[in-house]
Amino acid sequence: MSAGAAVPSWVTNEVRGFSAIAPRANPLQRIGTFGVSEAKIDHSALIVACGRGDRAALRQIYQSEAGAMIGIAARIVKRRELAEEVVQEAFVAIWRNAARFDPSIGSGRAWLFQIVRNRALNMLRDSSRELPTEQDAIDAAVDADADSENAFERLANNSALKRCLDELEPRRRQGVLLAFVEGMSHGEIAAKLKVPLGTTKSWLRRSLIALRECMT
Amino acid sequence: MIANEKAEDLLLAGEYVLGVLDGAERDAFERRISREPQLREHVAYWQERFADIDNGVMPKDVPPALWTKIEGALGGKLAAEQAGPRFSERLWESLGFWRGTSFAGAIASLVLAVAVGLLAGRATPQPRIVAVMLTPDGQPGAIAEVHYNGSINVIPIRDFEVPKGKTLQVWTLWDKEKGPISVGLIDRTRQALFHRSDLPAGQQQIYEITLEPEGGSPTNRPTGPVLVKGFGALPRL
Repeated sequence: MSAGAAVPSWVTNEVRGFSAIAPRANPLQRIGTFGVSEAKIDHSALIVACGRGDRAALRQIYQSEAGAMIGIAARIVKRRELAEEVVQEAFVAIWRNAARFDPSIGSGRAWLFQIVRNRALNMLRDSSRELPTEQDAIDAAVDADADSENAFERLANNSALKRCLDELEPRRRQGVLLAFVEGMSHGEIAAKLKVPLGTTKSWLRRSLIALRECMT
Repeated sequence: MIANEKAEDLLLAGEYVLGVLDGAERDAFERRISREPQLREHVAYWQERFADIDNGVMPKDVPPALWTKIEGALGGKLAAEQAGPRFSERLWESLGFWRGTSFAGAIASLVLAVAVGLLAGRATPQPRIVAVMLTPDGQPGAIAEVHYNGSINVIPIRDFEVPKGKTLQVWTLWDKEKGPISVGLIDRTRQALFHRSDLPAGQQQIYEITLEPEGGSPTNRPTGPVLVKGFGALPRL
């Protein structure tokens, strides 16, 4: 592997790599023509509708995604009531930011979940909250990583992400999952994996490079 | 060189999506996202790569009251368009103490700050009082939003150097007899939310941030230099 090289091998492939992001279908084609419970939700179209002030679209996103959002937030903030608060704040942010969402750049669902994750991380790292102290968090991190293990196990077998995570050395894979799934900081991951902070940082960076090479 | 910077940005976007950038790095990156479309593509790239994990999450039961709370937080009538630059423009109009000070880019900074806060998913219910805190040379340096529930959201909009062993301390002053009262500490340049329903909030109430020893001012009064200072004002929502 070239992971140790100063310049990753994919540097020269930048432009080709970026253009590999699939163009989005026009999200407006399918809006509102299906029931929430059965058909696939067109997240991008609903976000665009929110941007126009359509409160029913926000409600539809809520009905379809609030449960998953609480699940994502709970893996990070660990407490149910905090996770619900995160999701509440996230929906306010979704409503207020929807007009800025650009459906041509990325998936609507990913955009929604990023807002949830940002809110959860803010809450986790908000110094004024009565959350566990950093040392408590580190201690807790050393004991528990069930959420990230579960998240990995739940990936479908045909998932490229699963295949590529599988190719990582187990502790590096664990580092990636602890960060993404549980919102752990470099420091918490370092404590959990019992490696120096600097090593954690470079592991994560090299894992990103490896994932990119594997998934392109 | 250019390829190298791109590679670095892509990695940075990866770290952002992983959630491992620390507060200051994350804030700086989000500021860049708001003005560099390519970074949004980088972020979307990693979001797509990691999407399977979120898509596989086990949904939790949703308490029925949650939607009511969301509607309450949205104030029942707010249109999405009203939260953007218009808010900032009105803020600009409302802050009399800015007039007479000449600094280019102040509006731009403020619009950017509001946009970044929103972009970062930090939008909160409509504030009751907003204070724009200015540096000694008249540049906007931080915003405080005081909410009806007593929470005070402090958002730095420039980087403050916080040497080791020091911290930022937020103060408010509404009664000269009482003197400045500490709102709370911020360990580095980043947004912070304080829950202080015990503090009043009014127009012409002073908000300021000083540099203090770690753990906060030992005298419970500002001892260090005032970094930014501003008056509370009513946002025209």
